[in-house]
Amino acid sequence: MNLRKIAYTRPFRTFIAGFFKENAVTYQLLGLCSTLAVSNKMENAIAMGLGVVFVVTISSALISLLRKWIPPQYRMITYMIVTSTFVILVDQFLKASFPLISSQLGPYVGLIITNCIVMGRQEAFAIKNGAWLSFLDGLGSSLSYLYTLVILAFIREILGFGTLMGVRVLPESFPPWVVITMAQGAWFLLAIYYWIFRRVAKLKPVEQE
Amino acid sequence: MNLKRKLLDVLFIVVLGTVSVALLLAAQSYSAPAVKRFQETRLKTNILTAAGIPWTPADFRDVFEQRVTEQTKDGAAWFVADSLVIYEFKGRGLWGMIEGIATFDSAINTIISVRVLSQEETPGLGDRIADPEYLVTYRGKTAAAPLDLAMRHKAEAENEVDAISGATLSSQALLKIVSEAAARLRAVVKGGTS
Amino acid sequence: MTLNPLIILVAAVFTHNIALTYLIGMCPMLAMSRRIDTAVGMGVAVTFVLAIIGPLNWLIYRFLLVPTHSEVMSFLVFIIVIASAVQLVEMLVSRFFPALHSSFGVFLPLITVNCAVLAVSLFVMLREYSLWQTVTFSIGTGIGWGLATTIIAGIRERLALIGDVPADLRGAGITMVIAGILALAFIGFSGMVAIQ
Repeated sequence: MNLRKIAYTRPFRTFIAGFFKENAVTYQLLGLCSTLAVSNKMENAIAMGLGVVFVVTISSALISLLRKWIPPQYRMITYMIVTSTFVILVDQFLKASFPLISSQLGPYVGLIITNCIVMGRQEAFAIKNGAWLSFLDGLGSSLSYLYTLVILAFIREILGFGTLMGVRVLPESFPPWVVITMAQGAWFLLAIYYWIFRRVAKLKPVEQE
Repeated sequence: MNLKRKLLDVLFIVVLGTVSVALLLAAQSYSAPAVKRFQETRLKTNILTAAGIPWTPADFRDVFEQRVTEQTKDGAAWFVADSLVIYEFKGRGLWGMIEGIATFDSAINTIISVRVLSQEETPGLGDRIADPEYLVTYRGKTAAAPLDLAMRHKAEAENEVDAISGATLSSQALLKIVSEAAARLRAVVKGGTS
Repeated sequence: MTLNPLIILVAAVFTHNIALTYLIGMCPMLAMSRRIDTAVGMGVAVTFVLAIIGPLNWLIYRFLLVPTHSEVMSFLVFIIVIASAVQLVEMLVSRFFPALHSSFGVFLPLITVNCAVLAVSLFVMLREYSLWQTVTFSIGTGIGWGLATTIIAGIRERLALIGDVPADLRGAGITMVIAGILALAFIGFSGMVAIQ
């Protein structure tokens, strides 16, 4: 397979746009509430990130399939109905068949439904593109959310709890940075991440206000 | 034409809404028995563990039947196993309900243990109220007086428990629920008995 | 619940500020805090919509969802009500108050996606507020959110005058730092009043 050729195909470019330069959190500025709250431990970051990937990809595909029938002035309502029904259905299924997982994911369900990334991608892409491309677009953006969460969680868990994935990595004598485990303190870490990200992705700086 | 278009649009939303509602109600009734069974299992196995009674997934129901009795009085219900009294508590946390069981000695003077069965607090912070390592702070505390959070020092007195750094509100919520449950149980069990 | 609704109002604005204490409604807060007039406009619009939607969702929950044991639908129903109510409000405002519509109208569709609006309904449900408590809580939350956004806008406008923000931190980056400092400051309020 000629890898260089794939890089020029539409599906790949759709995927990579959301995955890298148009990072959901630092470029599109979506999903901030949950990023701050949930990225304090690797375990939570991975769970939430995977949940969002699952929901964004499939919801985008669903909206894309329905796009010919959605009345323009009812777009928002449609996104919300489709997304929340889908998520609650999955939640009910988990409750019935995998109750232990369901009880651990309980707090995330609400956070995922209201995650702006879902609606953001539906409105920006899925409403005007085919299902496969919408799926990839959702995949790119939601994976960018996932790796953002994981990177932040790596730092927050080590500095804030001294552990990584629950395993202690710093000595007990290291004073935990409690502030960074709270959403309030996470703002600063997010700002630094934003800063570094824009540098690395060579994004043009916003003009002086 | 314009009116027809508008009506079709509204119809789309109505149909979409109805389909969603139907799917959700169907899903709820599908999951309801399994949810109930899970909650019953969770409660019983936790009560057995709290009472120190060994169980296996195969026999816990029988063990529960044999070793645990439920008592009621004045609208309150609690469980008795050996010489321990186990009481379910439920209350409001920061983001959702907190449910659990508290185990007391037979005179309901001391808290033997607290186990949290379900909660929806902040992941990583508030959700540590369900952590057995945190709940150790409730062991041996008094059930005869209201409890307080020990701020800025380690909890020493028998009416003090530690708080979770960065999760004061969730710690406070659990404390209030447990404290009030203990008071309620004491009042029912002790008040008015001969 | 015997909490005085007025205490809930003040608490929702200051000590339990939905944006700076609970960190809900962040995306629009970052987006709308560039200038003070935008922030104030959005704040007013959010408060107005919340004043209607908070009690409306309370009524629907109390008289429709609970009696029919369909609490699983709460999320979905609240979301539909919010989206529909916002659209309705926008239509009414553009028809009967065109002057108002030209200044605040553009903000209305953005309120649908402001998590703070949904959060109010969910909190009201969880805390089992009465109708009056819901009314003051909704209005207080709207004012609180608007206040937070306006404070940040004020600081950003000042910063723009000084003009020394590092290039890659401009825009959302420095706003995050500002929001962090404010959020940390608001921790000082915690424990003052209990509204749940």
